Amino acid sequence: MPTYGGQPFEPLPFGDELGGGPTNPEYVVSATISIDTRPRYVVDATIAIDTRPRYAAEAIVEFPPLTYAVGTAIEINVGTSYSVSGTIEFLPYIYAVSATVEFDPASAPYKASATVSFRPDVHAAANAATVWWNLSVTLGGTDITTRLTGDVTVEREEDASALASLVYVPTTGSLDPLMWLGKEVKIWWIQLNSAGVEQNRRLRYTGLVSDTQWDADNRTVAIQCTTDLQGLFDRLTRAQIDEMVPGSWSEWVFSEDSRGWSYAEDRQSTTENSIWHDEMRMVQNTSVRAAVSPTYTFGDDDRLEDQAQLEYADRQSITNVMNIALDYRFERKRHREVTFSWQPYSVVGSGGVASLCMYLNDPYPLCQRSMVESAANGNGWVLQGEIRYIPVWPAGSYNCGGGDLKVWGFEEVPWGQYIVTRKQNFTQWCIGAWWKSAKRWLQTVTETYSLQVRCSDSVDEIGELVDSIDYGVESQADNSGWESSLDDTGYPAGSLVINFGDYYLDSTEDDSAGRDVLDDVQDMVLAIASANLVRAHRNTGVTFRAPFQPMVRLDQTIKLDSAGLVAQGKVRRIADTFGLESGEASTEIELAISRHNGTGLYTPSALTPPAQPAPPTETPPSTRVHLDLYLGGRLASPSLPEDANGYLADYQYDPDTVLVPNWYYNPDNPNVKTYGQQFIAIAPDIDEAYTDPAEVTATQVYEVVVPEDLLELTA
Amino acid sequence: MPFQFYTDAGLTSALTGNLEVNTSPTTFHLWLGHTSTGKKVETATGSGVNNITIAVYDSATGSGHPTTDVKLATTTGGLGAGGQSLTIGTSLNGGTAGAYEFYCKVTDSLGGAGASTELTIETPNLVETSI
Repeated sequence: MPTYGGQPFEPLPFGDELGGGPTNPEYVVSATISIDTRPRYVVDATIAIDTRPRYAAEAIVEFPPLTYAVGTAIEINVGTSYSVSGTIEFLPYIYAVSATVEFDPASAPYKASATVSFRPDVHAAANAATVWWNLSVTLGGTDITTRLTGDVTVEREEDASALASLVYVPTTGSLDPLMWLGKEVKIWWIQLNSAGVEQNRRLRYTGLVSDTQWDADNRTVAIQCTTDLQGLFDRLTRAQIDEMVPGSWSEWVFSEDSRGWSYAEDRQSTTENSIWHDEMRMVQNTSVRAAVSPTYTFGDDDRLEDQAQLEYADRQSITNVMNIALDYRFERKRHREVTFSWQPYSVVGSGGVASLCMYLNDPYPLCQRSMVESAANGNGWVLQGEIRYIPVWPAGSYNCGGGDLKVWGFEEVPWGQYIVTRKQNFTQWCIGAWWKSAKRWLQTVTETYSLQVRCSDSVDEIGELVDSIDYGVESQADNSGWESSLDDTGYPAGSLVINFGDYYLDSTEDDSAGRDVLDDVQDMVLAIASANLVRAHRNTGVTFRAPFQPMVRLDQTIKLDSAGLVAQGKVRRIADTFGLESGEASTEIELAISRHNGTGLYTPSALTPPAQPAPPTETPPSTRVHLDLYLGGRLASPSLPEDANGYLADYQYDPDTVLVPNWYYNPDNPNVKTYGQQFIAIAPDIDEAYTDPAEVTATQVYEVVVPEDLLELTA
Repeated sequence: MPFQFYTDAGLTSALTGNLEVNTSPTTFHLWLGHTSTGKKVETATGSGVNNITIAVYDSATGSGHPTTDVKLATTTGGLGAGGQSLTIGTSLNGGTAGAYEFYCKVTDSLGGAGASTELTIETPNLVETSI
């Protein structure tokens, strides 16, 4: 490595040991060292700094900038911190500097640069009566123009790699044609004047050698070139393809494994675009629709004498109705609240007295609150809040009619040497209760969107040619904890109330398959269907040949105005042939003609997804459970119903108090039904309408108007 | 291989020639980057402080095409209001993830009158270092 600069550098003219120096010291100071070379990049440097004791603090050395142009000053910024009156400042201070600075020429600064090359419009020149032309072809950067023989061809088509072929006469000596594989080939068309002097040039092709073939007899190498459109995309990540191909993509619409070119095609299918490589091998995405006005018009005099060919679309290749079935499946998180009510007695006014009198006349074990609580917590539902109890009748004397005065609620207890009467404590019993319980469960819901995208103009003429496709989106939300998530806080926020006590919350918020994703998928499938119909109606083609057309591109609209055929459409394919020996250069142009042949009176629909279908109509469930009182132990007591729900008890049997005939009350009598004592609180079953998978459907028809390109035949 | 312009996001297709403007307007989709993730560039002057830019330069000011024939933007939608300079930042890392994507729209205000190459898009001098 070369070394520049003095070794050591000369002492620099600033600072001294007494603190003198520039009037207004600055941090940046400089000295100039002449460098007699192009810009370099400093990769290493050592600087020795000799400081005076007063400035014995650390020295700070910087090298900005790190690059130097010829004649530019190298700035060596040296400062040292010192304290004057307690203030830390920088003072430029160098007594002596010695440095060795090495430069690495390979690391020289550079610019990224591209020249904008404006080319004149050569359409008129290329279509003149006489055109002098030549080609300029480079292979791997080497000009091989003078070693070409035969024809050079260039062909580009929508959604395909651009191809080229040429025949090359190598220089004498041994060779290995495989060495050219992957090498870049550029083909320029050059417009000459009659003296053979270049007037203009057009880049016509940039590609890579894909195949070589040695002709041993003629000792030539046939070279095939491609722009490798598919290979280009196969080397890109999805994110990179997103940058290059408009459109949209979803794993719910396309294969999850889609990568590279397949992924690019997926995205493209959601648009009305075609992908192609231009002459610079740049990827172009342009609409398949023809423009209203043609870029160029070719009359009979402008094309070669070959018969222009018209090829009609095969009816079977046309699709004019796309039926889409899109299912969206998710879980509906349901929450139901039910009120249990056990109030067998009237406890108000005279009714309360009557119920007490009935009880006192024929008593049975009162209901314990703990039994109610056990029943409320043991039926599979979750208690919401607290159980409200109706306390037993208050202690007192009650007139039970006919002068029958009964005392209720007092007990005699010893108090020292006395027996006293006090009110009984009834807090463990109740004569009524009510509470609210809740349950949660999941219900699978499927929304089916039945969408039809049609081109009625076409249908009216050739009948329905239907293509159907199914898509499905399934919410991925994990709701496994929903049923067990219930606590005593009631229904969750955001729930939709469909009936008093009945709530639900649709699980459609997940990122991977929520309703937002569904909306995107609907937009996508409608776009795909619409684009499919547009593409399916442009299978008619018109092909003609003209002198080489340097200005014609795949994104242009061309009109052929021939005596027997007038057609206008977007260019689908361009094939150039340069006859190096014949001197003829021609271009074959294929136009895609979009036709529906209908009246054209239909208007296109906005491709707006349909509204979410309404939930299925549900019969409001009963959300109140009435619990009864069942008393056994009497011959007249009925058999206990199977669906008994409430408090079960048996009348007390006291042989000393009951009236004759005792056998009617005796629980030992096999005809006397006894129920035992328990509290049952069975919640109502949840109807299948609320648990079975639910399906709802939304239907919508969309009209697509495909272009009707000009096509007139004259006999 | 330096940091340079590419015609694809994967940095597999380097721009080896000029930006050929055969029809007007022409939009070029370009990336500035380096295939190696172990490289980065900063401006040669004011490294790490000055911004790397991509700007339009005219080697023949006052004649031929004006720089306003070229518009630069980071999106196609931005080309309408695009200017003649883009600011990338104080450094640019190599690798496809670090590549700077932009669009260059060229309009031939002289109407295809003749060939000319006086306009360039370029960065300032850059110094390349290993990360």
